Amino acid sequence: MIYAEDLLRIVMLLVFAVLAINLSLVAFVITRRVLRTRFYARKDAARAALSPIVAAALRETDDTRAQRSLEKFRRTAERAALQDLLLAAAEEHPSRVTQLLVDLGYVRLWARKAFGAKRAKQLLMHISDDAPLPEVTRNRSRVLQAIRDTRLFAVERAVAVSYLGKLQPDVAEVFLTEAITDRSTYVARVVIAAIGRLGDVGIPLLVSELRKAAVEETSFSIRSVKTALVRTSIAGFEHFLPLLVHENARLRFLAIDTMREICGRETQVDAIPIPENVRQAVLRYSIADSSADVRARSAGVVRYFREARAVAALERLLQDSNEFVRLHAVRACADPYYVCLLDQVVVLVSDLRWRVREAAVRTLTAHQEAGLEKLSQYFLSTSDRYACEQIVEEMQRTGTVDAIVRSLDREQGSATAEAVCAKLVRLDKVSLLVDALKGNHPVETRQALLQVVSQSQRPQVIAALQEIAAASDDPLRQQAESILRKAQDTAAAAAAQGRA
Amino acid sequence: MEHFFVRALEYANTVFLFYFVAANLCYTVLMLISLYAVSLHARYASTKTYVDLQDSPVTPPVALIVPAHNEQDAIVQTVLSLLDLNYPEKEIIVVDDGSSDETLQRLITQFDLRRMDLIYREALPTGQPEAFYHNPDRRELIVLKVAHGGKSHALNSGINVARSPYFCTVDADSIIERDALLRLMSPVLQTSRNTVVSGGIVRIANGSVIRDGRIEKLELPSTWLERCQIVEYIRTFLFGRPGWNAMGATFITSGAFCLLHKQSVIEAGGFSSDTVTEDIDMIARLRRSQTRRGYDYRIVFTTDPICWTEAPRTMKMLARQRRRWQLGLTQTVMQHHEMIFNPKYGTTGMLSMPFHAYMEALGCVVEALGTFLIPISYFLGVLPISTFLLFMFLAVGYGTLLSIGSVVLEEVTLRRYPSMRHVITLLVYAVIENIGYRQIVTLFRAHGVLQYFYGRRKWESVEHRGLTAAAPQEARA
Repeated sequence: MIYAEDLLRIVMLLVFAVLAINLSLVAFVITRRVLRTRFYARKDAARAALSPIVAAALRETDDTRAQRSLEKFRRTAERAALQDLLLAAAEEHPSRVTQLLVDLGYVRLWARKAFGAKRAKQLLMHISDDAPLPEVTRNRSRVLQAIRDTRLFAVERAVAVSYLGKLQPDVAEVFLTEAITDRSTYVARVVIAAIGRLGDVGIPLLVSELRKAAVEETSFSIRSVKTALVRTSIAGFEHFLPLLVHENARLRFLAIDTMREICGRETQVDAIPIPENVRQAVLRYSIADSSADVRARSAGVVRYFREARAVAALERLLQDSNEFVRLHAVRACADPYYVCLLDQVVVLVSDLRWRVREAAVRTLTAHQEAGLEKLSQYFLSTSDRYACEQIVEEMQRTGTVDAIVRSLDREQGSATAEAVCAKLVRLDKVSLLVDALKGNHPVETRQALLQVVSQSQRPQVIAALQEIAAASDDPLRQQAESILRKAQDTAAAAAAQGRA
Repeated sequence: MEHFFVRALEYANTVFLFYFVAANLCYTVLMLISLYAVSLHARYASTKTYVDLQDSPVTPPVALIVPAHNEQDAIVQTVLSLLDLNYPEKEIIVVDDGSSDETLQRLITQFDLRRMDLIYREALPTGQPEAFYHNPDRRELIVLKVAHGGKSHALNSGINVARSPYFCTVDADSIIERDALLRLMSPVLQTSRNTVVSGGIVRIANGSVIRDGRIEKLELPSTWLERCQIVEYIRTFLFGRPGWNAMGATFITSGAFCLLHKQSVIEAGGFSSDTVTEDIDMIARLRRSQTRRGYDYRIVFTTDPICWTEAPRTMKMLARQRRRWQLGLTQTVMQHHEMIFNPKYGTTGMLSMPFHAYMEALGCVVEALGTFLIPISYFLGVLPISTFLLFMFLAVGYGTLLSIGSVVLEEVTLRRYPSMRHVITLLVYAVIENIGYRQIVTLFRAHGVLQYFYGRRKWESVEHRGLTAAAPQEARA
């Protein structure tokens, strides 16, 4: 039984407890702010002072002298600044930075955090003296393992591994190979990203993880592994060859899709040096794969071959029964090398699937003059409403309509331009034409356009004509007035006929 | 009669006591979980760069859908901030929801848009838009004009135009931090499970200076009302939602900045106009739709993608906003009541839904009644001083701990406020917010619940004055 006096005492106790906690929190925040401000001021000062010394140490030819020039900086802010400066230079001077980080004790510290003192020592011995690396014998109980996997401990390990992953590739690889066995997803994400940054050195590890992620349950996400793999280069394509003929369709798909992404990243290079055995494998297996997804993605790789066999392969894929294969094939044809396939591409503007129609129009637009010519001809000749709509969509989005309007008063091409504009009016796609009519085009262009646009009875067109007719300084005023009068007369005659 | 009245008050006081104890216990548990989750996430994220995602072709394209109704003061800054986002492939779709002001005209002028007749494929039934605006030189941006049909209709129209597999809803009065979309996408890429929703946090930018769609100088607003809301937002987004997320039971993500998987949303029937908070409703609908289909999915909430928004500046607007939120929450929990204590929905069904239904939605009526009746009981002599003080402690005193705790968490993790002056002001308002402001908001919320029982369904609009925009640094093409 709690009496009123006891309750009062309890309440007062609670009030004081909350007050005390609140005051401690306030004191904590203020102290932390002050300490952090002071620490970062010191770190900034240390960074400024250390920058030239670190630069000199990186240039130094003698390792011992380089180490000595830096080891006297032992205060926390100095160590933090030194770590930042060295890690920032790791990409440019990988071996020297790695050596310095080892000599200054950073690597030992990170390795201990990531793998424990004993294993860290073994790994460092393996790296420095090439000592054999003993097999790991982990006898952790399930409870201990579960605690270790919690975020509280895993985040620290992940942070340590992220630093180790920035060392020179052969050293980082040792640590990352060890870290890949860590069961925590936090560590796993860092490891995969770090392996990706190693470049081609990391491909075997990543391919093996991709295989695991596709076939078994792992803590890695396929996208994470792919993101890392895509950072590698075409030189590593050989590692994908066994996957292209793997019995698992998902793995074949992931392999060819990753190759496609890698090629896409290296598009700046005119002729991508894809090895002949890779070309043969793709042309022999992937384009004829039983999985439509694999066939579709193979088009994106074949595109970069730029050779006769590629033309034949794409031609075949353009006629595939699966819409996604056609879609990817038609996208692959956007490369200028495949101008010879434009006739096959034009056919797909009338495809049953809108995505394919859209891709076909975009591919033709990408081929500029040659493609646009084909597109215009097709647009004028076809009666397929969906194909026309798709073409008009792309013409509007890419600004092609403007180009067409501009050529209305030119000697060459004006007939085609006029026909295209007339078809736009017939399809009720007049917005951009009305816009051009009210815009700053030359009078001759606007006159020609006015003739075409006036065929439409859309309120938008009538409003534009009224606007022109009302503008006293517009040279098209009289023409607009006359069209409006004619329209009114026609409407009146029609009304009278209706009444009769 | 007097005896009956006294007994009724005693019973009511017991209910209030139970409610306040239970609510504070829940908030304390959420606070402890959030403290653990948020601080470790911040530590982990501090070492992570998003360059890998920015450069990777594997990062999926995202459509940013901005429904806008009479947002002439804010819309240009919002679109500028979206155009400036770090993201490999994005499309920005502004849906002008029948604005009667200059929203559309300002967009046309600023971005040199031209009217076009584009294709509109209805994956979700919305009817044809009135017009499309686009500029071939700014391929990322497209503006739709639709007849006024509410936010859900505008969002559904945006989804129909979107080409990307994911879309992000963005409020028209919001400024998104440059890396925020990459941060929002990051959890989606970290797992092979289908992440159908990834939510970020919303913070208040009142008082800050905006230039070219970016926060140039973060400042605190001058009025107490806005400052109290800042503390309240910090508490909600750093102490409430991360706690639920850690338990895998996210039930609310703010529609002001939220990434969604397009196909899953279409399968769930799109945004519904049955409730006035379409964002909360969408989470419930997605959970039901995914569970019904037996899909393996997840909904996540992350604390570092930040969206800055404008908070109501007057009590009248605050009342409208909070009534609407509460009405929407009540509509949602009532509409999806079968999820409550339903083990099929896991922790969401067993913990999150009951908490949101009984504590957050309906509980505010109990809280509001308690705020009035407890002092009355004390002055009538029904309640002894000890119990009265216990109530006051539970209703006000403990709240200061939660509010100060959230400011501390902000300082330890995100640290968006640059000077010590800001932090001290926030700490002061963490106390002030609990004396007066919270009680007023509780009344507004209780009114929202009553509106539900009256059968009100109408959206109460909140007027925005627009964030303080500095002159642009250079003329934009």
